[in-house]
Amino acid sequence: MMTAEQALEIVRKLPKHERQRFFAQLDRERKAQPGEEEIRRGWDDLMALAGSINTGKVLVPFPTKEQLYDENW
Amino acid sequence: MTRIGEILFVDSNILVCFLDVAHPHHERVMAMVRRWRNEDLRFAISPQVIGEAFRTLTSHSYTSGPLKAKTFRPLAERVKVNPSVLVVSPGEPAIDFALDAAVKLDISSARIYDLILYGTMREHGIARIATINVKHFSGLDGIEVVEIP
Repeated sequence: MMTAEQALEIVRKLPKHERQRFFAQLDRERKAQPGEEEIRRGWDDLMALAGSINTGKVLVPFPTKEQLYDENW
Repeated sequence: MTRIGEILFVDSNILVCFLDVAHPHHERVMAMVRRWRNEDLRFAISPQVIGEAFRTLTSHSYTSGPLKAKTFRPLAERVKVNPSVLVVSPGEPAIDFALDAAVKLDISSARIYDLILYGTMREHGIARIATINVKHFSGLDGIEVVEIP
């Protein structure tokens, strides 16, 4: 079994890019581990949002990135 | 086999179809969303996804009845704070992943925005994306594109 200090030593040896990725993923693991019940409650609320808006007649169903980032679109 | 809480990155076109009942592909996306719900997946989005959904839903070019910002805001809040949704942001590794992929695939112009989503996924170790624009995410290392039947 690896200790926290040993793990940290390995992290210190990672290239900068990989170290940043490690911390990004560690942060995600640390702050984002809701339980199964919480996830299911979240889904209930999410499903209540489904189809909750009606914008009328859709003219361009799937705008391209070029359109989305074009000021005149 | 899906693990409870497994994370699926969601492109803005999926979010738009999900929210807007007027979208011609709303039901098509909903069929998939119901499946994801049964699998207890979690969604991941980034600020860019929210920005692009805002851009689409508030545009007169997209629809005859675009939303006002004040209508979009509470919707975005409910998505953002939902425990089934994880908000991830791009950092320096995301830029590297995006630019390396642009060089490798010889991509230019607005396609870089797809690659920034890709880079954000790679930075955060997210391996799957659901999108309508399947071909825009094909051929990218380390991710799998989930097609909407």
